[in-house]
This record gives sequence, structure tokens and C-alpha cells, in this order.
Amino acid sequence: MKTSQKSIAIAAGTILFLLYLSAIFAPWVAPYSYLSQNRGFPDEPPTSVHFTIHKNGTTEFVRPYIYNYVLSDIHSETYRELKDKRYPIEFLTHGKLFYVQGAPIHVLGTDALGRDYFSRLVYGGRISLFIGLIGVGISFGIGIIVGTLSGYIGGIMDTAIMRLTEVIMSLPTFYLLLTLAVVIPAGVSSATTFMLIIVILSFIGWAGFARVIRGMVLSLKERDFVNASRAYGDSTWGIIRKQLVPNLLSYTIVSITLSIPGYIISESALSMLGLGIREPDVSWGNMLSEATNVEALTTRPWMLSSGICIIVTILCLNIIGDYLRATIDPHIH
Amino acid sequence: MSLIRIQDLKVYYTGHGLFRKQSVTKAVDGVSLFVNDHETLGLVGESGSGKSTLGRAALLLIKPTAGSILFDGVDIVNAAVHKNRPAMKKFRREAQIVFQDPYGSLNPRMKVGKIIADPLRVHGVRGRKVLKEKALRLLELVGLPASAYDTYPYAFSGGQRQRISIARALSIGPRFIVADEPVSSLDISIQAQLLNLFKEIQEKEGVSYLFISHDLRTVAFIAHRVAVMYLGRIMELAQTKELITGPLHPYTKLLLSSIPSKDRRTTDQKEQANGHEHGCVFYPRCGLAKDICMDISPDLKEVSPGHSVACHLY
Ligand SMILES: Nc1ncnc2c1ncn2[C@@H]1O[C@H](COP(=O)(O)OP(=O)(O)O)[C@@H](O)[C@H]1O
Ligand code: SF4
Ligand SMILES: [Mg+2]
Repeated sequence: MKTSQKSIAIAAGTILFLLYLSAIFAPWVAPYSYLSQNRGFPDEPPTSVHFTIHKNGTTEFVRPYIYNYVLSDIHSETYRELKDKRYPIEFLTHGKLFYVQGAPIHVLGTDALGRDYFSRLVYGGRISLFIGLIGVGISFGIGIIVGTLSGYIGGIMDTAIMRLTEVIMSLPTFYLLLTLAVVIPAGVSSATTFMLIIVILSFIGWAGFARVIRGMVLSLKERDFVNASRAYGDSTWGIIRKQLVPNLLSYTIVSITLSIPGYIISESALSMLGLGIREPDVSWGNMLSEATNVEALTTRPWMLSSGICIIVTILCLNIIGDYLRATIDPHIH
Repeated sequence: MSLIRIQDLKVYYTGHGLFRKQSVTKAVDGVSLFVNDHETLGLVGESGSGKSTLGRAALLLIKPTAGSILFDGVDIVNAAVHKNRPAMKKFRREAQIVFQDPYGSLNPRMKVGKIIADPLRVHGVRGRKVLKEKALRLLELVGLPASAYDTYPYAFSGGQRQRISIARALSIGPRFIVADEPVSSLDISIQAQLLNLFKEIQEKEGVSYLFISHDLRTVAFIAHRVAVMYLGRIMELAQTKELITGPLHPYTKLLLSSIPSKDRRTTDQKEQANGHEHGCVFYPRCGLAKDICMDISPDLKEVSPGHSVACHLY
């Protein structure tokens, strides 16, 4: 393993860690609530942060500050800085990461309803990032239990489970989800929709993993360390827990890392189509749906930041997964 | 009374050919033998003769097709079928195994200390300190440093791994150990050390061995009595010295004459299937065969006290 690969993986891990941290501590990281609207300030561009002041022809560095903005033309949504008063940015006060007294700060601008885009991005990460974790938690939990039992005990149960997984795997997941999402009544809250999406994805997702685990168990159970345990009379459960599962773990960790992106993408795709997380609740997917017209993209490119977050997250997970796969078993083979 | 007595044991493997009809491999076909307390019975034969199958079936790691196994007077095949827990628990504590492959027989994800102590845990020994103490004593017994306790198996050579396997087998104080070619995959110099360790342990702990090897010299060095196996059957069984100095069976003579030999011949069940289903299994390779050998399989008969042979010549 080259050192460069290691440092890339560490960088990816750090980015992911920060993303998850900011999602967890969203109320502290985001300057505003993801709900609070300011209709007088729609589609405001990112607030400029200034570090210098010009006095008598010299430039002086001061602590970062911003100006207040006014909407100078309603139709073209043009904004202008009011340079009469400077508002310094304060850090780690008022229970926030950063805070400006007296003027609004929108580091990524506002949306059409005047909601702070950055705050929405931070809160949106909660759903987009955790849908993957909860999803793999459920599907890998089921997968490892079913796959291990199926492989170790065998017999009719094994045959039945394998047929079931084949049926599940032949389902066209995305179309099934689309159908289900349409069927879910409109009155159902976003939280419920969210849970339904996860549960449905997980109950489809376990099958492929269970089959791989079963295959590994079939080969593991022929190994003589398992036979030795049988010879001293360990129980089926004891053998599964002590001899089999630890040998399945490295594969599991790698494939968990590599399957989280699938959940994130599914959520984004559904939410983008308006079938997942719905307004006013927020996820990266439904934020991205607002950025789906050329006019928005050309005049307000910062609206793409949710898409960038999705891409960065998936990229980081893939880098880490590949790195783990290459390094997790240095001394076993 | 013998510690373990195997009677007319049969283990058949059924293969499911894709295009052929079901094929049956008679890996063990009517074997009877016994091992006494503090005794080593050697089991020798070319690769493929069914030694491992016999050894594993003796510990019920493979389900016998037919026959009985009496351990300390109790029929454990029956006990297993009828889920007689106390009898099985005693059997699982008193009969252990050491395998041939030093790499496959240790869990790569478990530290050596845990590997050795696990049988104790399974049999109800509790307490970290007690377990660790016992594991350290076992490491010393098999000649490994105490530092092995906290190490994963990858750090050890083949010979050291076999010592770990021996320690694991010994941990719960067994009376009977099946040693299935435990030295065959090791260098000659290390083989000798391990064979001596097996002997030493027998003197100290008083265990019995069913010691399996394809190498007659290895078996002759360690065993009190030797059984010669060929294609699922016992060809000859005698005191070691008697077998070496006065072999009766043509197959035993062949094994003795081929010492030392690198190119062991591997026997195959197909030879047996080649139209000799009724006769002596050794018939296709026997230079002394008579007419009767082709049709009638010879029984294992005692020709002198403690010396049995399965051959129509005797
Ligand atoms: N799991 C199995 N399934 C089918 N056939 C087997 C199996 N294990 C062993 N055999 C066959 O049984 C015969 C005896 O094998 P084995 O007991 O391993 O012999 P040995 O230990 O003397 O080399 C061989 O013909 C082998 O191919
Ligand atoms: S029975 Fe016949 S074929 Fe078999 S070993 Fe004896 S002489 Fe040879
Ligand atoms: Mg063998």
C-alpha cells in the first residue's frame, strides 16, 4: 500500500467525519433554522465576507465582517451591499459555530423563500447521510444473520432462503420504490416517508449480501478450526459467534462502506422526483430538485452545493472502502 | 476394556454427478479396531485410503453410515442420534483431534490464548485469571513461549501452529486424541521434535492416540500397534515390531519396501470400482493374487495372538 493512497484515505475519512459531525450538530453548525423564511430576501447571493478596510489609501486587516444587503431590483432579484455599517462575524458564541449580530449571514445565499441555503444544507445532511447508515444497519443485520444460518445449518431452510433471495434480487428496486412512493398518501409526514424508504430499501438490500455471506460460511465451515470446535463440543451459536462471524467481519465492513452510497443515491433520486422527502423538510435530494433548471444553475450556481455534497460523500465512502479492502487483512492471506 | 472400540464402521460419500448416476465412495468400509488406555494405535495407508474419514468419523465429525463406536463402554453413535447430552458432553471433553493442515486448523481471527482456552470455556471453566493460567501452562507444556498468548496465529510457523493445536486439544484433559497426519506437512527435523512431543505428552498425561500417517516410519516410531488401511479397509493389524519385522499382507510388504519413497502412489476409489466390487480391494495391484481374490473379499482374521490380516493367503 502506497503512502499516498493512505493519506488520500485519511483525508476522505476526515471529510466524511466532518460531514457526519456537522449533520449531528446541525443546530450548532447552521446559523439559522432550515424552516425560517425571509420572504423579503429571495434568491439572495452568498454574503460577501470582508477581511480588510481601506482608510486613507492604506489597507488594514481586521476581523472578518459583512454588510447588510438590500434588494435593489425586485424583478431581477439584484442585491446591493449597504456599506454604511460593518457587522463583524463572531465565532463560537450564542450557541452557534458562527454568528453575526444585527445582519443576516447567508454563506450560500438564500432560496426562493428566503431560507438560508447553508442551514438547509446542514440539516439536509441529517437525512441524506443517515439514511445510508440506518439502511445498511438493517440490511446487513438481516443479511449476516440469515446468510450465516443458511450457510452453516443448510438443509431445506437454506434452499428456501436462497430461493427467496433470488426472488427479492429479481425485483426492479427503483420502479418498486417509485410505485410505493406514489401509493403512500400525501398526508403522511416526511419522517414516515423517510422511514418507509429506508425499510423498503433494506428489505430488498439484504438479499445479495446474505448470499455472499452464505458462500463464505460454506467454505469457512469446512475449515478445520471449525471442526476442532465441534470436536470439543461448542454449540452452533458458539461456533457462529466465535469462529465464523469474526472471519466475515472484514468483508462486511468493506461492503458496508461500499453500499452506503447506493442508499444515498436512492434517497436523492426519489426526493428529487418529489417522492421522498417533501417540503418543507429538507434533504440533499430535494434541495437538488430546486436546482433542476438552467436559469437557476446559471444565475445561482451555489444551488448545486447539495449535489456537490452528495458527490463528495459518495467519493469519500468509495475511497475508504477501496482502501479498507486493500489493507484490512494484511496478515491473514 | 478398551477406551474406544470401533465396530464395523462404514462411511460412504454420495456424490451427485451432473451427467452420471449417483456415485458412492466407500471411504471407510467395515472397519473394526480398538485403542486401549495410554496406547497409540498407528493408522497407515496411502493417501485416499480413508484414514482421515475414519479418524473424523471416530469423533463424529462425519456421520457414520453404519457401525458403532463405543467410547468408554458407551455407544456414542447412539448417544448422538438420541441427543443424550451428558454422554455427548463427556465424549466431547474426552476425545479430541489434531489436524494435518497447520494453517486451516487455527482461526486466524483469534489470539492464541483464546484459541487454547476456548475448549475450557465451552466446558464451563470460568474466570479470566484461571483461564489464562491454564492457557499459559499449556503453552509451556507444548514448548511455546508465554508471549504466544497474546499473538495471532499468523506469527507462527507450521510446527509452532501444530503445537498450538496440540495445546488446544489437551486443554480439557482428554483421554483420546486423533492425530490426523499432524507432522506430514512439516520439515523432517521439525517432524522429529513434534513426534517426541506427542510421546512426552503421552507419558505425562496418559492420553491414547489414534495416530494417522501415510508414512510407515513415522507410525512405527510412535505407535504401539499399527493398522494398515487400504481403500476403506484394514489390511493388517499387529504390534509395531511384529508388523515391521514380519509383515504378512502383500500391501504391508509393499509399504515396507517403498521406505523411503518420495513418490507415494495415490490410490483412488476408481480402482475399486473397476469391477472389483466383490473381491479383495488390493487385487488389482497384488502380485500374489489367487482366483478366489477376484470374487471374495477376505475378512480380517487373527492369525496369531494380536496379529490380524485380511488376505486369502493366510
Ligand atoms: N467430503 C468428501 N466427499 C466425498 N468424497 C470424499 C470426501 N472426503 C474424502 N472423500 C473421498 O474418500 C476417500 C478417502 O479420503 P480420506 O479419508 O481423506 O483419505 P486419506 O486421509 O487416507 O487420504 C477418497 O477417495 C476421497 O476422495
Ligand atoms: S487377498 Fe488375494 S489379492 Fe488380496 S492381498 Fe491377499 S493375495 Fe492379494
Ligand atoms: Mg488424510
